[in-house]
Amino acid sequence: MQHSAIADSLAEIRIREHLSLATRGQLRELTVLQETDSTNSALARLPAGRRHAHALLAEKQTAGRGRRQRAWHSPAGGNIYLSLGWRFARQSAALSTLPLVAALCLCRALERAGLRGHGVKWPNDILVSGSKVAGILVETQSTGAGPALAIIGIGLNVRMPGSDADHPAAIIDRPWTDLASRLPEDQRSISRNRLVALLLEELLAGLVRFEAAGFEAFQGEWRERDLLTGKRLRLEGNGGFRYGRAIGIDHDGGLEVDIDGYGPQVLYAADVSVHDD
Amino acid sequence: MDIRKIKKLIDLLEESGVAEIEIREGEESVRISRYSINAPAPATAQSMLPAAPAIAGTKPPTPSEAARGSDERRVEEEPLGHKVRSPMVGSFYRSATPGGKSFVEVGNRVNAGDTLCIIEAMKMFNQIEADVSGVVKAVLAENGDPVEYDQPLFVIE
Repeated sequence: MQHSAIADSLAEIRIREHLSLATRGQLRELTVLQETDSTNSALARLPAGRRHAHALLAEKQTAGRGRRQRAWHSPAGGNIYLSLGWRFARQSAALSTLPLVAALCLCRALERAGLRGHGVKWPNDILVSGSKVAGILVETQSTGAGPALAIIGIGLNVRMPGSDADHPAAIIDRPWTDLASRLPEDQRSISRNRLVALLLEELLAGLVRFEAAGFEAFQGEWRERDLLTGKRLRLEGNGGFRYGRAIGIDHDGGLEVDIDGYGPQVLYAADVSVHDD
Repeated sequence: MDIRKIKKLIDLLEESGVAEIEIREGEESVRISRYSINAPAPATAQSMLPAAPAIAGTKPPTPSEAARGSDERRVEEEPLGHKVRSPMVGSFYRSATPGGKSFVEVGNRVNAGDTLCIIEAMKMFNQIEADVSGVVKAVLAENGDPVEYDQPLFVIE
């Protein structure tokens, strides 16, 4: 049966219906836009007093962003583009593990939606069977010495619109998938409003835990959801590449890799892909 | 390079769990590695996988320290004025998008809270805002430069 796009429109009131009382208490503002350039940018443009605990969504992004220069394909109607602002007491330099925490929260939310077999590819992609289903882009604003406001942007492919799904290679340059096609059949009709609520529940709970206990509180879960440890990796940076084996992550969230010919190194910047021997 | 500075770097490395730090000041450079590899890694390692921007356990300065600046740092030919320093190790960008318009140019007037630059660390993009109002007297790093913790980036007067 064709899924009705209209019935599944994002709506603040519908999202709120699915939120627990605790989450409703934590969330100060919830905004759904029909279209924006990027939800991270839209949130960053708001007056400073309205960014904290504000969840901003859009049905469509015209300039969805991944890392610098990389576009996040963001057609209307079937996916989730969500940004959440959060003011920390700590400085931006102490938030290096925040993208990892956000990725774990996203994994939990997807598990509650019925997804299985997914995990995190360091530092901020969620994969199912090798294909990307969601990505995270964290940005901060601060004077450096002062407390930082973080904007956690999440792009989750829920139901990639048909015409795009037929020609993915032309639009997205890496293996990708969407959530609906990976869920058990009886759970595929999950509404995006319910999914957004699950994301917010897990994110807000995770942020509070991270603020109180740091990344230590997430180390165990990281090991369970980490897709790279023990794998052979191809590491790319500055136009060259090397191979190595992932050891794990250090306490700052850097990736520890035993690089062929160099021994163990902690990486913070390389592009990583799994290389099958 | 000042021996006290090198000692401080070793201490930072010890605390942080970072594998290796390389610091360059003009002609001089020093690389400190935690691992007892007898031979230094071939130079190509640097270019292929750039030295890890080590966010690391470097202790953030208290606001008073940051304002006072570091006495050990004798940087010459810098205009006098308030220095905005890097809060972390990472890559320095002057615009929001590659090739885009710079947030600020020398001579621009900025207000406290205006964005000055972006520092990318751990695939996270950190907008650094002015903590004072004034005129930008100098931009002390080049677009795309790796920057160190506490390195002066801008002078505002």
